[in-house]
Amino acid sequence: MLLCAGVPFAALVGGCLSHRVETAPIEIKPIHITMDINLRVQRELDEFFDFEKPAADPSATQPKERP
Amino acid sequence: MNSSRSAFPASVLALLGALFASDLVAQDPPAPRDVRSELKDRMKARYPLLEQARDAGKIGETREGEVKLVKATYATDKADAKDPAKGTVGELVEAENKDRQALYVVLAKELKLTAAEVAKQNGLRNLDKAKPEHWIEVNAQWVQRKTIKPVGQEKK
Repeated sequence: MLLCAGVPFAALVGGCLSHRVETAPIEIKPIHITMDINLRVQRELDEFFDFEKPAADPSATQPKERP
Repeated sequence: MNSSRSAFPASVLALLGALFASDLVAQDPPAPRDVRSELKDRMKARYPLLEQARDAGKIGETREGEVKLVKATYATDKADAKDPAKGTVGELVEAENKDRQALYVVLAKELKLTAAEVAKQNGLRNLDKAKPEHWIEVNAQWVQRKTIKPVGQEKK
């Protein structure tokens, strides 16, 4: 008797329950690298690798800041 | 009579001298400029395939001025899908690094630096030239160029 009343009640209540999972926003932090440039070596390397394509647009390489 | 006797040893000496001189010239190492132009020719010929593999995300650059496979499984991929004779991506990487190391030694001698310092400078140069989606190895981890923010510091 109790079982007969309990099963439909549980089904009714269960159907009304909502389940929400909240996720924290993922933040991609940029990696910082110190560019300790030796201009004399860079000039030699640029001269040697003059057949390579020019460097990519620097603005394209900067990670976009999240609002 | 006497003159013909004295002329003989002189001609032999001249011949021996010429032989030794040519031998010494042959043993001289090639001039640095020649090594550089040979390296440049090979690297220039290899460059389009390297760029293709870089764009495909199969290879990336290290901060130590080397090119490296992003995943070991890419080693057996064909370097050029249209021409199997051009070898595998792994062979391409190996050949490029061999030439880069030779170049670093040549430049280090000229600039009175260590090969490691020249290699590091080329690593920075490659980082600067990389496209946003290209892979760079930082602290033994692969990251895309777009996630790296260079902090400038220049010296003469």
